[in-house]
Amino acid sequence: MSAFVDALLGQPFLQRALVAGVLASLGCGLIGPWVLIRRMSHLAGGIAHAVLGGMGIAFFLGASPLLGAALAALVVALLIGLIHLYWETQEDVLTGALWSIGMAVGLLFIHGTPGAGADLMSYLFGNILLVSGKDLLFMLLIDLLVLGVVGLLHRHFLAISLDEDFARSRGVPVALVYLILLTLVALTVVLLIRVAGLILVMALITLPAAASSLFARSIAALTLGATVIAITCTTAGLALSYAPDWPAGPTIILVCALVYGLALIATTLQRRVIPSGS
Amino acid sequence: MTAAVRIRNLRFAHAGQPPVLNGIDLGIAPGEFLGILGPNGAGKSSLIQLMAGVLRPDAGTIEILGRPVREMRHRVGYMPQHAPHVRHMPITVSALAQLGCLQGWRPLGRSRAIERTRAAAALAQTELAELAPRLLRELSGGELQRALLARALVADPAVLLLDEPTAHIDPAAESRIWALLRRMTPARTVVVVSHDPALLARHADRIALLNGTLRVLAADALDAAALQWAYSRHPELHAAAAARREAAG
Repeated sequence: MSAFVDALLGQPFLQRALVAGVLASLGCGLIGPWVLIRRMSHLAGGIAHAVLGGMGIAFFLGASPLLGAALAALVVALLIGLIHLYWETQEDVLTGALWSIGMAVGLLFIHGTPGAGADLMSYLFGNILLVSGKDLLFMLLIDLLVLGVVGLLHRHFLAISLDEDFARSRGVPVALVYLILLTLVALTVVLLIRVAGLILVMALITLPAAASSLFARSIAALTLGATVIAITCTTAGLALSYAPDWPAGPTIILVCALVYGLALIATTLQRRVIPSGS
Repeated sequence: MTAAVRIRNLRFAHAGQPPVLNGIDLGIAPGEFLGILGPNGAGKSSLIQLMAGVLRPDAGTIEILGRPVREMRHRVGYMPQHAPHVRHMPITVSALAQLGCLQGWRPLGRSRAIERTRAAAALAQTELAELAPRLLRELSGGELQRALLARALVADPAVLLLDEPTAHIDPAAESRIWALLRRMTPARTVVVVSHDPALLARHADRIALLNGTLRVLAADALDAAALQWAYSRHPELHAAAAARREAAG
């Protein structure tokens, strides 16, 4: 651990990695609770994997892969939203299809782009140590956007997540609010690609929020708890992976899983020792 | 006097299906307690969702206090048939009730403090004031239904629309909710969908029987012949409904 602290003080790339972890955690904390409450982890997974299509096309065209990822995430989020609204009975199949089609398109374009394979691994599994100052600015802008929209619309998100019919009766534009929420999920996926990669991103979105939900007694507490847990996990994962030179993304995910597992065991034991109502 | 709810020549069909409601005319007086009874698939929930503005009619009009539904959402309280499916999430009874303050993009209250006050008043009306800080997962079925009723009451609606508010809860909790609903009138107009003719006969002023067409009668005129008509396409449901009514005396 002291080696990590020493390196942190002297190595700018490690400092950027630490800041990236905090910025990514803020996105996880803000959006993870809604993915859980709305039970949309499958949809978010579809967005995450289909993003490879946009990245592959960006590689092929010589454009920024993160820009390609962002555009693809927005397009796929819109498609998934429309599928939910108009072809709900086919939602599961069509989301799964988008998931695979996006990856297939991405792999074909990457195959046609000499030298793109090396970068591909860092986007599939993340490499927080390669984050640049420009990436940090990009992440900060996404965080601010997500924070602003969630701050304005969190009650609308709760209303449509609890009960769409009731929300409609109150004049809430359910379809539009749902599409906005999906768009935020898509942006958060892009935010996290550098940290965890598109294969592992779902765990980083859902596990801190799931751990926080075991203790929280309000949506605000759930959000704050998820953010704190995510910051702790990304920082701990980064520190643990440094000395043995493990890949940081997978280490962070395993720390998240460990924290969730411990929280689950702790709350289960607590309920057995102190049954509810006593 | 302006009707609380006025429905004229209403037609509605779910996508790709024949009309479930056709040529429906109905007037509900202010302060009236109207029950809607009919077999599964007769369009009871669709009718109440149309009144609440959740669904849009294919033809015909629905007015609340003389104005189209879309202009009068703030005067309507709606309680859907199904309870929220996220009882595992950290949502308190008070937070649930405050959602009733939403009105389009804006909340009804000028501040969160006003919304909390409105929610507290609605929870007091539904005898849930002490449970305001509880999580939804800590409630019994009857308490959850009363919390949903409080959410419908927060906006102080003139018309209260409830779709099977006591489905799947025990008889004691059921009686408590029906007594609460009875007390809502005549200050509010109450429209309730139910499968239970005995409860409707006891609490409602009039009953609308829905079975292809609509037939409205005084609650004390609900007899075996009326039930026979209402459930004529479903004799087994008629037998069950008649048994429930007889059991209730």
